[in-house]
Amino acid sequence: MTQPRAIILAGHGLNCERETAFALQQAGARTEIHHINDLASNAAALSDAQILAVPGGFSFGDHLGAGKAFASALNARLDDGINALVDRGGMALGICNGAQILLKTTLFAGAGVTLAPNAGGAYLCQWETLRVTAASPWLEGLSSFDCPIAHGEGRFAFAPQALDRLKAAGGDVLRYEGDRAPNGAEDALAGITAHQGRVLAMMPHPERALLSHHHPDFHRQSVLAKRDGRDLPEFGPTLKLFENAVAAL
Amino acid sequence: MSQAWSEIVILPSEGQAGPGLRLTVPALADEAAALNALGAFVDPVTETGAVFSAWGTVAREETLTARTVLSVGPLPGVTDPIAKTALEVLADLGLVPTDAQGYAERLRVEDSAVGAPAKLARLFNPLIERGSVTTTTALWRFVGAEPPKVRLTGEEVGLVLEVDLPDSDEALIAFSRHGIPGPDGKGRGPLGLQLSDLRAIREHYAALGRKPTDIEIETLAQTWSEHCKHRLFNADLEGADGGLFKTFIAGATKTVRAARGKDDICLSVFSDNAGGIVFDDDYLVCDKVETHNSPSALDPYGGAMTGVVGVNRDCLGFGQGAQPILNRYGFCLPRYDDTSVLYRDKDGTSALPSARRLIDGVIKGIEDGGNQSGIPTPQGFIMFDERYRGKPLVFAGTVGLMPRRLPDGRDATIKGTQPGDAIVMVGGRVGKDGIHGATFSSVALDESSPATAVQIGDPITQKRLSDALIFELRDQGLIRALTDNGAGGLSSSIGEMAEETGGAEIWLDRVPLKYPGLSPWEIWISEAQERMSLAVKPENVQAVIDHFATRGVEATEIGCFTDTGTLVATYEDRQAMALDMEFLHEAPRLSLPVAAAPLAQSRSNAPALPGVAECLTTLMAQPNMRGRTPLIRRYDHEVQANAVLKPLQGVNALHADATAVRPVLDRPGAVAVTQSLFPRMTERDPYAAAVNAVDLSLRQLVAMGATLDRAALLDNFCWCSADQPERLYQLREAARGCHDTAVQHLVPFVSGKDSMFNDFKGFDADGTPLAVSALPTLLISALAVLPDWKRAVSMDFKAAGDAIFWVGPAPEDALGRSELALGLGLNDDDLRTPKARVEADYASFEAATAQGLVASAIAAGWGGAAAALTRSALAGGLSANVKAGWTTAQWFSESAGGMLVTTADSDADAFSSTVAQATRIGTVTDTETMMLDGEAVSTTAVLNAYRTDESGEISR
Repeated sequence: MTQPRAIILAGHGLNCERETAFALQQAGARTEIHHINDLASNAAALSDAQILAVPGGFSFGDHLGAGKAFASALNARLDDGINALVDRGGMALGICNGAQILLKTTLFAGAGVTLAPNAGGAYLCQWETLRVTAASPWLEGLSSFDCPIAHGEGRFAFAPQALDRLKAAGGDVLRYEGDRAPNGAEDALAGITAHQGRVLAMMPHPERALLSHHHPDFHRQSVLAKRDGRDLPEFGPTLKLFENAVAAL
Repeated sequence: MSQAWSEIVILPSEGQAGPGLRLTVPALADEAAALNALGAFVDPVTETGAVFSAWGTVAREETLTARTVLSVGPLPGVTDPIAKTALEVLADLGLVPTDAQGYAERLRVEDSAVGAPAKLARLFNPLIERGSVTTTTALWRFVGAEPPKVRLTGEEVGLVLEVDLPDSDEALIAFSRHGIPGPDGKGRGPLGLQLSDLRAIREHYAALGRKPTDIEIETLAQTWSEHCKHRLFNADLEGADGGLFKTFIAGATKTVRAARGKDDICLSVFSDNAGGIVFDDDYLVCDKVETHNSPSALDPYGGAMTGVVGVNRDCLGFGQGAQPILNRYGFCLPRYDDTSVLYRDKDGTSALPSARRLIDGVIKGIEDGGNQSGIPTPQGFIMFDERYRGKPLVFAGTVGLMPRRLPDGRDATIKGTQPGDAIVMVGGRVGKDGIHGATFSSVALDESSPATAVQIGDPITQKRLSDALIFELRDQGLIRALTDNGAGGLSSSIGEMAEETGGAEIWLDRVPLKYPGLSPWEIWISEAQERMSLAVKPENVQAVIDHFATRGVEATEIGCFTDTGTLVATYEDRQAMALDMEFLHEAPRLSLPVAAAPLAQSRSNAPALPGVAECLTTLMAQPNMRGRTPLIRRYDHEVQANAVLKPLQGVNALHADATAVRPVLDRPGAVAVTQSLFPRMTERDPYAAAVNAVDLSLRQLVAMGATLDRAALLDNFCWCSADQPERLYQLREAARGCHDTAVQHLVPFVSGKDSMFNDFKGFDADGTPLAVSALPTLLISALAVLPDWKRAVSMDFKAAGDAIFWVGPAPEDALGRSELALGLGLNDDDLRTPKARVEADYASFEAATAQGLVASAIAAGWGGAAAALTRSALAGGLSANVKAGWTTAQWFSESAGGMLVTTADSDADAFSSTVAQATRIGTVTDTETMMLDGEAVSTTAVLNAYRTDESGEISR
């Protein structure tokens, strides 16, 4: 099998491109970080890729509402290339600001879903337990895992009937444990999919839960494991999410 | 002739909460253009929107239910990042020209009109913004007003004044206070120059046989300011010939480096924007901590935010450019319940922000500055004290990572500017904002403090600049040197860089401006944000400018470096400045008197204290001791995926003193950071307070697994009234304490920054004059490199049955200036304060960590041994049974040298035989009740006290 090629977008205030690339590399992908302005004038790069990741960040400072300005640029310049990647069986992932962006592209056209300001009003950076509640190639073999969130606009909100349509299509893939979203998201949703699950938009950051020392309980677990003569593994369960993308191709 | 405008209004749909926007932009051509714009700006699920133009309206809804709306927009000329983004999007869609101007107002829809004016008043700062109460229906129509614009008379464009320096001392002092008289006769703002400086300037120009120009005077004022040159810190003092900096700070570093010999870790100290130490064979880390006190006093949000993005630029401008990997913050603030109202003027028209607004503003400023820049902010502290009501202290620090060599082989710590190199200014444009920031922060805050010194940051512009510099241009070798444009703007950045070549020539008419009408001196000293200055080989200039352009960042060639020995500025064909470089960088040395020691020791120390249990509950509810989990969760501390030791630790997530990151994910090295300060103790015993602050910051590092042979220190002296002999005495003693402790532990100081006049002089509501001076505050920040992140130890207890050790000398019976004394309201002046303890040795503990014997460790600091034990136990969701045989005063004394450590019971013997001064004092339990020397304490009660916030809510 040839190593799949992953493109990670960057620029205008996106800021998680390097750790997202690191996670995909650990999963076996060949990664390239491209500034959106370069990619717009280099369509060939996208047409050779199998994975597209839009990482987290603060594109355009969320000045017009999270993701709007960056999505406008994607729609204006890269709409065909992105849709072609997904149509030929490629995998796309939007994390946090990347999810806010993807929802405003044509990949989620007509879905009637958005990410609105957190119900509590404040930005939240904290760990959450997630439950996989529908199938997606991204989440194969995962049923529950821990991830940090870090956002001010992460509340999934739907137009009338849109949530029912999403559920009917099996796109309601990730929920916060206990069916209570820290940001007030409808139906406790943390991540949704389109295009038969190959396009995943999630608010939590799996790339920040990759290594076992990322986990907030790591130091206690590590001390206790050593007393049993064990070392904790280098990676946490979330590596699987990135491996799934490589395996699905 | 007026330009035609369109208005774009975005509001939350009926039934939705959330912000809205009103944008004024160049007229959109037609209905198709308006629909296109709405498609980009309006979220169809939660928002509605409309475009209003002279030619008609395109609206998603024809009418709206009338609702009250609060509207806030920037004053003319103030950075307007929202409008900038909106115009970029429209230009990208081909709907407006690329250089279009516009205006953005933030809207907030309210449920009711009741109390709207009061809510609005809390929402904006009249120094930089304007606000109004309106309605959805009023917004839903075409107004046709032009966006507000800066209108300058333009009379001073290109104007260079020759300045007559007055003859009398009195007139010189007035000249310094009010500034150079402009053509209208009014002073242009404080210069902050000393009388001796002005005399020296007068003599210098008399010898040259000409008058100084206004730019020359402004340049000297900026360069010689306390803020830039640290005049007091370098002045000759009794007991510190050569100045405090040279004697005690640089002096300590020199001694330490010599003693460490080939194991010296310093790569760049005191000479650059930050201090740099070895990370591993290929990388170094740098660190810098800045203060942004004066701007934060006037505009808490903008002041704190520009503090963060400003210190980020120190990191970007270190050596050939370092990547920010960690932000740290520190706040010294009045308490939430402080309801005092202070005015800058006698007539009560210019109030300082309320305590509540100050606190909320600075917290939000650090949040937005750090989060929007993609830099984790795990480390910080808050200290509340009423004496920070006039001038708050806002600390912002950044740790950076840089390769030690560039791909072309150059040492990345060396700048290397050459004569003939072009000067390229990159980033934001220059405006009237931030004028006189450097000289303003060097004097007390009062009525004459210029409101233009306030700045608003635009982190996204800086992030674009940062990405292009650090991830793209640096390693291509196109840039020879760079530095930050911070305090003093171009005048100080070019002035500093020109030292390397011995001169520079700047073409002020080429500097890109936010709006026309600025005079040459304003262009030269404006502190408009998000800018850096580069030195570029002439043949590379176009490539550099072109690359920045592809990243949406403006870069402009504005001059060249020379070796003429003169700093020259021109405006069109006129010469505005020709300053001798030697004169510029040789500010006259001050010589200042120091008061005799005011120490009056021999205090009694036998207050009647409640039991340990009551003391502990009181202590953990103190503003300086209780949790700040909601704040910590607003600061992204996970970005870059580099967290190793986080700000919240253990199953109960208590805040920690030390945090650590792993900056290169496929390398084992980690960087740990800590902070420490004892300002209330400084008033009583400045030497001991400084010793204990340095010791605590290092002990916190040792506790988390670091070793002191790879540690470094940073100092921030934030003093008050520092020209008074009594305050200078405290300053000298504190600096001496820094020296002695650093030398004792063989840890070098690598960077620092001081701020000498944290005083407020103003009026109360009745117009009665009053003064509030900040506590003399020494913040010590420390960092250490761990060769392997796996050495990191968290503070939480790990398992019941583990052995509890006290490591170090028994706590002193000295409660003076402790958190407990404050909490109990004891008459503090009667209590003994802890001694200066410089003899501590942590090497044996480092050995125990290396052997993996340590399960948890915490250094005893604020709240003493009792707080250390309690925090570790509660963090782990566990409890303790301890018999130390100490008095209550000992349990809560903030004396130095102690750590509270746990090990597996089976490791206890190995630990006690490895570590000097290790005393087993108890055992970790999983009971509800904690036993301290026979007294029972409810862990639930203490945890609730810790978790209760200022409004009485319990937050987890």
